[in-house]
Amino acid sequence: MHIVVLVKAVPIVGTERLGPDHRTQRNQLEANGNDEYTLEKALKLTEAHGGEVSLLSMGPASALDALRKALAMGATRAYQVQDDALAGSCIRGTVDVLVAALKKIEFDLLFVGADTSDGLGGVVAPAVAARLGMPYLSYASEIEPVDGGGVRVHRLSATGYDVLEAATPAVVMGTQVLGEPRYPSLRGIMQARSKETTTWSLADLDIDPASVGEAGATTRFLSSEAPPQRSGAQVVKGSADETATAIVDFLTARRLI
Amino acid sequence: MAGILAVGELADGRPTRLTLELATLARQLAEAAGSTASVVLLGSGAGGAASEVAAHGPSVRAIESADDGAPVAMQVAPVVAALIAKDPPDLLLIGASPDGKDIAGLLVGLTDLPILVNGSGASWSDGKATVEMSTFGGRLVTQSQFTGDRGIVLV
Repeated sequence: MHIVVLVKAVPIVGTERLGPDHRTQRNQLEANGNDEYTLEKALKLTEAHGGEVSLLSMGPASALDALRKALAMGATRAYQVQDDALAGSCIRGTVDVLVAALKKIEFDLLFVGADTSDGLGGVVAPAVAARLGMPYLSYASEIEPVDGGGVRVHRLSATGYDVLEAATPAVVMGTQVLGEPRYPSLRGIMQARSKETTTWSLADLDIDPASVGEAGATTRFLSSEAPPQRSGAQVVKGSADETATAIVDFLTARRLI
Repeated sequence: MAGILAVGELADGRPTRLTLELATLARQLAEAAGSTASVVLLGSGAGGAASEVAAHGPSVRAIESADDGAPVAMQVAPVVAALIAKDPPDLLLIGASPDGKDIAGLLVGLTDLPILVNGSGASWSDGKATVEMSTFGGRLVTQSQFTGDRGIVLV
């Protein structure tokens, strides 16, 4: 079983800023938290059932440092798409690049985190699945192989979870319910330095640089501002009946009940 | 269809609250654009839910379908992709629920339409939509547009 895990190098949570070029500054990067949860599940699956885990990332050269931690956790190798022309890519451009890279890799399962801390869109995984023509299983709280080459997923729902199965290759979007990511061991950190990393340029993927990045962006940034100040919290005081009535009135006025 | 199209969601045969908000936003954008607003509802109970959505202004296309056990997004996205291939809207609004995010992502892959996510509002002027987005977990509000004529907005 070969599992590819998408890993995005994101700004350290809480330090996200737009630069003068209106792009997210990517100075101090770390592996996206949600991606580490899916990586942990991929490692557990291959430890139990055999196989290996590869990482795929798209980003600047500094993103490779963030990938080292994921390699230290136990992944076998990393593929990185790196090209100056990628800066400023929109979601559709990102999907184009990831799909082109994935077509160069033979895999059984593609694991993707629920969303990224700097984007929070959560739409890349289904878009990649649709473009690759693969089954898409989302919001996984449990993932297990099925005899004969398929995959079974517990998909979180409002009332619990649904059990879904699909043939492989398939794309699975995982949640944090999959389990806490491990800390890399000292041995893992040492081994990560010599693990195989492959860097692809846009030319390696046969992608026209004018179709991605700022040049090919399908969306345009206009402006930004700080969010409006929120008004202070409303404190309800009084007897139980009075406070209950006040809360019901509050919720009713907002059509929440 | 050129106009504003929203994809509604059903819960127990009724439109979700987010669907009604999308219907209102679609109507407001269509009024500003001088075009039409419509909502597509797909699933069991879509016909019965149509009037409640239509009360918010847009026309409604209800497609009754039995639940085949597949995730909602896998049932809805191909149908919406086929609809907009025949008659593409200027703007496709989708609610940012878990199913909505899946539907939007699948549609990006199926239709190659661009997308703006984390939308907290949208307006229309000079022939284009401007989308207000909550960025970096709400620490910044940004405004963006599509470079082309059409796109998906996850609201």
